[in-house]
Amino acid sequence: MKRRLKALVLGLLQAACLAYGYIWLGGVYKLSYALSHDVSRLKTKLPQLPYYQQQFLLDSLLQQTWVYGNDFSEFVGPLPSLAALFGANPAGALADYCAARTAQLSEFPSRHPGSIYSDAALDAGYQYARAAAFLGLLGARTQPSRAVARPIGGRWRPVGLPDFGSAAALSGRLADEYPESVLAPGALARRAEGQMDAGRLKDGLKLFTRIGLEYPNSAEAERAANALYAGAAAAGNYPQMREFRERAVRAAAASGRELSATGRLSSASSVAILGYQVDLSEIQLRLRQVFEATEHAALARSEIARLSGLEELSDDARSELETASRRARRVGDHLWVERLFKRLELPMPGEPPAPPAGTVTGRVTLGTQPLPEIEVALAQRNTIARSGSDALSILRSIPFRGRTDRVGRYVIRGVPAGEYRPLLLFDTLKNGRPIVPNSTVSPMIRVEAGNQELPDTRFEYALKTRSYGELNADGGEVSLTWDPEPGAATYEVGVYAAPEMLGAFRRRFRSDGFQAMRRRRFALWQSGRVTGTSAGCPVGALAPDDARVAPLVSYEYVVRALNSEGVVLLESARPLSRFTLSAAARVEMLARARLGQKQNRGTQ
Amino acid sequence: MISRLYYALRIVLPGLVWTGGLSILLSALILYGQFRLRDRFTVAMASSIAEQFFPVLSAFMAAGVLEHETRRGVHEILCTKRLSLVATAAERLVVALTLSLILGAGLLAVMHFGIRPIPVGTLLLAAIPPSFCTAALSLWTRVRFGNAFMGYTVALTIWMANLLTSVMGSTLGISVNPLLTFSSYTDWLQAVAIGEEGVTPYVDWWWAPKIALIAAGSGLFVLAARRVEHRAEGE
Repeated sequence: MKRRLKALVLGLLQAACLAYGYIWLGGVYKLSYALSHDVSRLKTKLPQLPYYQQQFLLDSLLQQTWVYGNDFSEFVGPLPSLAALFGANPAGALADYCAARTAQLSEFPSRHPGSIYSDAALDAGYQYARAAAFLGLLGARTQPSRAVARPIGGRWRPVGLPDFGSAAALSGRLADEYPESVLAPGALARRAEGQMDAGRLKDGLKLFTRIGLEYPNSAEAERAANALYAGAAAAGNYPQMREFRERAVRAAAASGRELSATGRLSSASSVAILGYQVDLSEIQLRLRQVFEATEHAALARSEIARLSGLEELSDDARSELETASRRARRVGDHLWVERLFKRLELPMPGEPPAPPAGTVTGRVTLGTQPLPEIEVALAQRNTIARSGSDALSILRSIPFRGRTDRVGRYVIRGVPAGEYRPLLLFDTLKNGRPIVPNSTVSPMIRVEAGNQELPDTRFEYALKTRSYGELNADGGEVSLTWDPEPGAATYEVGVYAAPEMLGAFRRRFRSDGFQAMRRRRFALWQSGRVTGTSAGCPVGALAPDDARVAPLVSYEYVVRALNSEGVVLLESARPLSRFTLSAAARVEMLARARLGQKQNRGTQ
Repeated sequence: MISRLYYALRIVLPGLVWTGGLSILLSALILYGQFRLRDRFTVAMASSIAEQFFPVLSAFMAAGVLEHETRRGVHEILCTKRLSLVATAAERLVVALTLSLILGAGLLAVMHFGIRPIPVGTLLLAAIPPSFCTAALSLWTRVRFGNAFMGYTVALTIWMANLLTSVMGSTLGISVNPLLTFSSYTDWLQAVAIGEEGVTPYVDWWWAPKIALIAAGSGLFVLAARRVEHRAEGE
């Protein structure tokens, strides 16, 4: 018996050693691979997770990263707690985890000065910081410092934007402190994009120029050339457009060849270069360089013929190829007309008529005072401004933007005639007090040639709310509080689903239609007139259609201050009044919602 | 050398009737599947079969190659042999591996002529390291536990675990040990096919797992041979 037991223990020990040996050997291989390759170029299946953290996910789960050194163990870090992820507020819990990791990784270079992972730590820190900002907003952990407002139902509706400031700072540190790192060009590109997002277009373009000069063979050089091209295109500067497109072709070819182990360009790179070639032929046509345009068009045609025969082309690449093919045919038609005019010895036709462009001006005020540093953007008809980080990427692609000066005036030049949706980008606090746009606005603005003055946009100070984040329920009610407003006799409170959570209440507002619900923002609960500075919202009213999505739902509330005659004096800022329910409150909410359903069935 | 291998084959062959039959049946099923989906057949798919299925065949074949010796008492039989026990075990393993690769080569040849031309030789070469590793594993577990069925089972379990980690690696990008994967050449072919060989982790080092599998297989073979020797000395 004793011998058998000993044999069993020995057998189990051997099995454990084998399993750990397998994991450690794999870890050593993964590390050797990562240290001998440019990991910034490697594609991963979970792009939101940094490379090392993704590759060592299981090692981290089994707490086996210590084998590769203290610094590596800290760099890869622990995983978020599963209990928190399945708890009351998963987005908030993940935001806390990401914020903690950001803090840890930003201090990594000073804690481990000789570590070879310092640059990668800052790079990973950037990704965690972005995730923390985004999830912090979703999970009501942090109040947004900036917001975007778009016209809905004739009024401006503001939505909070995540603050990527700390992420940008980490990127800046990586680019400045580790310029030799393979991660440096990516960090610099992100910094440039950050500048563009913040409306500092010139600074952003300067950084993109620096990338092209300092890292000409990197994938970011192509990204930089594209950004510069977009800037030149917005200004209508064709010689510059040609220069940046040529730069993009060179960078795409260089980085594409470096990516390929065989030195052969991948089909995706070839399709991208083909698109640039077609752009070049179009630009040269506009510049009346018929010979060069013909050469580029011929090159593009032969490349289209070659790529069309490839079987392994992905769906995206095939669709891009079709677009390039259509454009190349159009260029071919134009060239044919040019040659015909030449043969007939007729004067060449003039430039194709460009759509008339106008200059849009306007004024933004806070009450009656001018309000500087407000960004006004005009989005083309098909551009949809959404909440969260998507809004940022859409805003980045809008070329028609202006910023208010000291007297509150903005000018947007070179806007082609057409219909545009106005957007406002603003800091949510002014002099420490929340502000909201509070004027009527038309959903679409028609821009004509010449100067056009838009109606004034008026901001107002908003009522300051106090309840934010994870709230508890007391006696079946969630207490919502705010600061008193001088002159207000009563207050009204409305609780709404957060903009990205409307789908969770689709069934409740079915009769009115989902789109109507989007537009009008149906209240989940509305108080009567209250005289104090708090109101208790019954938790049962906040239950979503499906109990399973309850942990993901966030809410916003709006408080309106009314004078003794019932006229609205002031409203609170919706992005700053977001909340989620605590675990206990959520349980109570679902219990009450079930009870309510039973009673409803009973009465029917 | 050839005569010795032929001798080993004559000893091994009677014990492989059932496993051989099962292997042929499995191969026929795979062929049927490939013919039905012939429009979607690619070189990477053939490579996947070579790297993932041939090791199973090898495990089947290798588990029973020392059946006679281990069943009837090693010492008496070994005393009658002129060769060392390690050489005998090596010959049996080579025979088992060759048989499984011949069957695999036949499978690839049918695909080559029946569906679409594929580089049969390259795929067979790519299949040798994982096949050798599973064959050695199967042999070692058979000798260690004294039961051919255990040999199959453990080898199949390891193969299944490897398949699962490969699938996890390719779908989620999470790999425990990419060094000991069986399908490195398939991964390389797939990445090349979509032009992502420079951006897909580990595929450019597809040869490293092959070397590691040969090394692991050799280690397992030494363990198996030593075990048989110990049994012989024990008796």
